[in-house]
Amino acid sequence: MKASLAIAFFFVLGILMGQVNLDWENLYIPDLMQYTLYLLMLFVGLSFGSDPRIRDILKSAKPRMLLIPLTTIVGTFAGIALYNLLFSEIAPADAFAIGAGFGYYSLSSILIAEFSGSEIAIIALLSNVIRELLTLIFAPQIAKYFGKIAPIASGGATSMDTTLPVIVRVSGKEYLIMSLLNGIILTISVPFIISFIYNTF
Amino acid sequence: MVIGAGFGFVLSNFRNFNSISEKSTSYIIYILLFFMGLGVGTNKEIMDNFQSIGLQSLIISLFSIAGSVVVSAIVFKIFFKNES
Repeated sequence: MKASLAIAFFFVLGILMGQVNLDWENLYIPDLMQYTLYLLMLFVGLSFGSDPRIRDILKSAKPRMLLIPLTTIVGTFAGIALYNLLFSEIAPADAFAIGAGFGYYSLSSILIAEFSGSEIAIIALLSNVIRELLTLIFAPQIAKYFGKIAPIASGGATSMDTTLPVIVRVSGKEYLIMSLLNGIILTISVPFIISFIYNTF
Repeated sequence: MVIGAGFGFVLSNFRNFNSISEKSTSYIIYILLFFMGLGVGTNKEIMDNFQSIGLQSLIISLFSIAGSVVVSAIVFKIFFKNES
């Protein structure tokens, strides 16, 4: 929660600073973002490679558990496909990329800003924050009506950290490893799937 | 990211390396979000359309979640029902 507040703070600070009439054009914000983004990807990799939990989780994982991240990906894209049929405000590729954030709002919105510009990036940021919030709030109802892996799929990439406690509470401890594995695989997939979407469409 | 994971795996033998790299990750995310905020704040079109942007965001997350939970209900029935 503290981290989410800090993220919101820096984002709002940026918006407010943007209102101040300074020579922002000469800062080359897109270039700055791109290099910082490479640095970020390096550190995301570093955190993963050095996390002692990751090895234990991978050891106790069973092949069948891989169905859950697959379910999250297929389900999310099915939902987005339906969205694209019903709405036309956002280009289909953008909508799929936003969905492919799987709740990982910081990284996905930054990547999408690179590919598609600020407006879609903001929608990606808000939409993925909302995905995390709705999962936190409605996990009990989701588990009740859609079964015990539904809160994990709904949480997406966040099922390894922010939504993990709620998921374990509503689905039970036996779903802990599956929830972690789902979050880990989706978190790693986010940059690959988003670049794939924009490079293909 | 792959390079980072490789280095991270090797460096994980050093004490506290994981918590250091996790902290650095959050700081870099803060910096990037500040830049994103700047990009938004200096973009008049976005600032003028904030309401419709918020509505689309909500609709997209509802569709993402709905799709995920419906497919997981099917997967749960077929593959996981016997466990519980």
